[in-house]
Amino acid sequence: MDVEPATVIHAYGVVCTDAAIDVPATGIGGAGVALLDAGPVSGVFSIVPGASYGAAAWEEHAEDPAWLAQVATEHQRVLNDLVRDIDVLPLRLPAMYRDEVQLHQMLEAETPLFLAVLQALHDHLEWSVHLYLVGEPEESTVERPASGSEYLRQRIDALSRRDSARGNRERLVRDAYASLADLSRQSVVNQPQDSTLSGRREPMLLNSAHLVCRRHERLFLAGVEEVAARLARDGITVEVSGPWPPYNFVELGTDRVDPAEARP
Amino acid sequence: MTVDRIPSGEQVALVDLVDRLIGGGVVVTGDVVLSLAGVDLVYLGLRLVLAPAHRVGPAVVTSPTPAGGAVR
Repeated sequence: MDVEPATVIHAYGVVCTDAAIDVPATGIGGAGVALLDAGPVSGVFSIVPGASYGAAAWEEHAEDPAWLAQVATEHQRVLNDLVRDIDVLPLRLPAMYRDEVQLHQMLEAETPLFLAVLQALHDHLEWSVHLYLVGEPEESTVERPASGSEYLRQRIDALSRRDSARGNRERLVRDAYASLADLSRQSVVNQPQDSTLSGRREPMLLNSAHLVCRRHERLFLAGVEEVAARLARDGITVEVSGPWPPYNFVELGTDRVDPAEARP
Repeated sequence: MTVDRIPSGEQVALVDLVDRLIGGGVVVTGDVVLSLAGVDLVYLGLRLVLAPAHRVGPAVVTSPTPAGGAVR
C-alpha cells in the first residue's frame, strides 16, 4: 500500500474561470480555499493533511457519521458561499487528488464536459422538497356492532375508506409535485429517505429536487407555500431546503439537455 | 404555519447532505485517489450505522417562510 502523502488536495467544485471570484476564507479542517486556473474552468480546492483527509482516512471513517458530518458540512459551506454569486458544479465526495498537478490534469481533460454542464445549469440552483404525512384524517366514531355481519360491514367500510384515503393522498402528492415541477426547469423524484437515517417517524411521501432559475426563486417558494396550504388539510406537511448547488442535475450537460425544456 | 424552510447551509439533516454530497454531484473517473468502489463502501458503511439520525449543527428551527419568500 502507498504511503499516505503529507498533503492531499480536497476539491469542492468547478467554476468558470473569472478573476473576480471571491472564495471563502476557510474550508475542510480550517484549511484555506483557493482556485486552480486551468484555462476556461477553475477548480475550487484546499490543501489538507493527508493523514486527516487522505484515502486511508476516508476508509477508516467510512462508518463514522460524526467525521463525515463534519467534512460534509465544511464542504457544503464552501459551496454554499460560492453559489450565492456564481454557478458552481459540485464534485461528488470524496473528490481527492494527490496534488495540484493532478487536479489541473483532471480539469483540463474534462473542460469540454464542465463547460457544457456549467452552460446548461447557468443561473439555476437546486431546491429540495420533502412531504411528510403527519396526521391521518380523523376516523368517524363507529357504532358498536350489533352482530357479526354488522361488524364485518363496518370493517369493510373502514378498509375502503382507508383505501380511498390512500388513493386520494397519492393524487395529492402527484399534483403537488406537478405544480412544483411546473415552476422548475427540471425536477427529479428521489427515493424517500429511510426513517432510520432521517430520524423522522412520519412517513415521507415525496423526496424531490427541483432545478430553479435564480430569478424564479420567489415564484417557486410561493408555489411551495401554495402547495403546503393545500396539503395541510390532509395532514401533509411540506419542508423545503435550499438553495443547494445543483447536485441532482449535473448530468444535464452530458446527455439530457433539452433546449425545449429551458424556460426563459 | 405551513412550510418548514431550512437553509441548506446550516441545520440540515446529515442524510440530506450525504444524499447530495455522496449520492449526487459530478463524478470524474480516472485520477481520483479513492476509487468509486471505495466511495460506495463509505456510503454503504454510513447508511448502515447512521442511526439514529445525526443532525448537523443545532436543532432544526422551523419557521414559516415570509410571504413572498425572501430568498436568503
